[in-house]
Amino acid sequence: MRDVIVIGAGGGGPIVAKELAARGLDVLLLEGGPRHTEPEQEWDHFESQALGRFRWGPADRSKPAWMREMPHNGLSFQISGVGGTTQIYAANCPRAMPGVFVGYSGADAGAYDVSHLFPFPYRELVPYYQWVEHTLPVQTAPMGTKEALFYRGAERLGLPVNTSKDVSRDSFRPHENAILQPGGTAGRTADASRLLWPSAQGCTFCGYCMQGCYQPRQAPRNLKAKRSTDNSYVPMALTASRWQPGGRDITLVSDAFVTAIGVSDEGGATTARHVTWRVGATGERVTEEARVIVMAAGATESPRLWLNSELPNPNGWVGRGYTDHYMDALIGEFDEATGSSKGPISAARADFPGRGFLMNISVTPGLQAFMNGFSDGGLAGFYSNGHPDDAGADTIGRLVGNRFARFMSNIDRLLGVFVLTDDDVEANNRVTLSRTYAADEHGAIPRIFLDHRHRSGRTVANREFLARKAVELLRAAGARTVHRLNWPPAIVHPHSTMRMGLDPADSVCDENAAARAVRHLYIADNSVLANAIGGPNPTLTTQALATRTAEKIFALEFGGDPWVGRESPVSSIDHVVTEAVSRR
Amino acid sequence: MLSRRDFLTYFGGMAVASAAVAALPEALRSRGWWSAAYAQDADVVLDTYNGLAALLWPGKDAYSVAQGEWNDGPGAIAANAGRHLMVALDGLVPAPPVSSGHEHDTVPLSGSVASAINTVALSVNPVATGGSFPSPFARLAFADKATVWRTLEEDTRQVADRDPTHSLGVLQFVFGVLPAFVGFYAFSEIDVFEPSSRRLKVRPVGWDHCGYLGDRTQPVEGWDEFQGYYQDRREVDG
Repeated sequence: MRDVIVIGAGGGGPIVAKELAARGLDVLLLEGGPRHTEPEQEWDHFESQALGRFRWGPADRSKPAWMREMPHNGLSFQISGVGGTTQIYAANCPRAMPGVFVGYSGADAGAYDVSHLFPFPYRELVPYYQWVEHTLPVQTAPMGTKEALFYRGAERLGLPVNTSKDVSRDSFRPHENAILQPGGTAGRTADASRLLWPSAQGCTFCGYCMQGCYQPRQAPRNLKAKRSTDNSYVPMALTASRWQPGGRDITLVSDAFVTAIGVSDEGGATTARHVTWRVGATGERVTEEARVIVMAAGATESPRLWLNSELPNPNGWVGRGYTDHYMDALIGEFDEATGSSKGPISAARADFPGRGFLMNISVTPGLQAFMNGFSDGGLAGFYSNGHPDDAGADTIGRLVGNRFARFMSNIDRLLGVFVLTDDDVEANNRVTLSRTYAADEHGAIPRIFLDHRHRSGRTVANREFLARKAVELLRAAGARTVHRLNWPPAIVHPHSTMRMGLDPADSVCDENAAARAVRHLYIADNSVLANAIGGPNPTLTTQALATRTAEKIFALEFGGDPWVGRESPVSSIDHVVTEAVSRR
Repeated sequence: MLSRRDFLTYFGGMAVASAAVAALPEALRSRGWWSAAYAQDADVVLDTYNGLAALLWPGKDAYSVAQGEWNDGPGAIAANAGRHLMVALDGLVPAPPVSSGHEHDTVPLSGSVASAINTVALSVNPVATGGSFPSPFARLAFADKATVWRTLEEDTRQVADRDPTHSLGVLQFVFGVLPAFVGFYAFSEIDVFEPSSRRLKVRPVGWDHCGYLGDRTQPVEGWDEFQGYYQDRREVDG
């Protein structure tokens, strides 16, 4: 019997695995997708190749992707494989807005989804933020042309600069992100022969964050620029015995899709006992027992697994309360260079507590054209599909024809801004099991439904406020023309479908991230977030919370002592980790 | 042309798409947008997606000229975006493993989608004469093509607004996301990627049009773009 089985090696699962491995527990980490052990050889910078490589699908790329049902316009962007969606994420690591936690008393206290707050105070999470920020590590983003333009726009709007990791007022700043700052020749040359580690260290400004980060070439895995979990926590978890006295290396099994959590009745209490997974390559089913099981399959798959396992759902909240930041995109055309094709895809942001935030965005040509065509706002100049409000932009909806040709005539004169809304937890937005489509080899497939044309009044008002701010910022930065795309649900930030909460009537987990209805079962992915955390990118908060959950598991299930605040974290780029990774 | 295996490699990230379009034929019949003639003739089907590609990004090709919105550039037709979209739709939806017995099978769907586009095109202008294309949609003028898309999107949206559980939600999804994929295929390097060498045969037309990477034919490893830190601040409090 294992001490702990963690289901999912994405943004959250590896955090629990690494922390408990460092305490000496026997941890099995299961991942349904592939593991890319040699990214420099396996990956490249072609966007059409990345689209197939980074998908919600099996390790065998000759097989189709896994199915999900979404009965409306929109797309879900989750990625399978060790590292999960962090393999292609922007790596932005802001903390949550303090106002989404209980006990907050700032002037903006009433501006959030106060019906669905985190069940503990913000200050309690801060030491865990600090632990993860040191481990990844999280650093202040450098600046390129596109960031300089964003800051110019923010300055001209009169926004102040935020020089803290915490947000207390409307302000702008460089991202705090999990991308190593450039060192040596990185960021200072386009000559590939001079961009090899150790001459180049950290971000080389290649512009391919969404193609998976393997820069700088020849760097050990734990020194790749972007701190996706497959570059940071997973290497640490696999080598815990070598950098932590008393540590124990985890067992990692990829191509292992968990299809069921088995339970038994212990004194009238439903108790998690074992996990069954399907081996993708052979179709074989394997079952292992564990004292504790941790779900970290993501905000869509965790509720699917719960429902397919027929676990208790007494209040009906499994899968409910799906939040996604109700995103939108606005793009400015400039008469000067924006440097859009160079550097991290996003490195600058403006925060608006109680509303959400804006961030700059730049992508490769195919994705830029994709972004323009991904709209719920019709065809610009012809119809707006029921969305008449352009928020002050020059157009709304997709550009087509010669107007689109002109728009795409110079990618380095475009600058995008994403809107990320502080959206409300709403019971109607949810994951269920599909009744329309046949089950696949892993059971009934998930159905994602976001009633995006009937979001709450606060959610809609927040999005429109931010869209107007984005237009103002782009014009202030010098944009000649601004286009609002009015996106349908773009599920880049899925959360809160297995939410923790104060009220047992509308939450799945308690304040320890333990399932209320099943003993010895915890949740450590975005699904356990109590709400949309006020709008910020969720990964850091999920990772801080997962660190706290690991401590709770160690204390409540194994009688151990907490370590955050008592010990110093080891950074994933520390030489002891590099040595451990290199010798493995 | 891509093999189905290649397509699965390229397109697999959009798992949501696969489930949604699986229910297309039934939903189309319920709306009166199903026509076997338009769904089953391969020339008509490809022609339909070429017509859509020209709507999004016209060039100096025959489809763009026929719609009356064209220019001297290459356009999406030159990037074979219509063909890539058609291949994508045909390889997108995995057949249920129980019914087919072969996990690798997929359900071809490009015909169903083309059927709807052409059926609506005939309702917008039944006597369109732009070019001699077999697809009624490809024969339409630029503004009439936009009207077709408006019908496809707004009609399905209004039904879905009244009843979010209605099966036409599937069509709202399909017609909502197709233009995005046309754009992706038109401007990515998919049409000139050589799998055996993992290099490009020539520069993609989309790269040329948008000035991507100067005159390079391969991606870069980095740029000399680092401009320091805003206000020289390399770290913040917290």
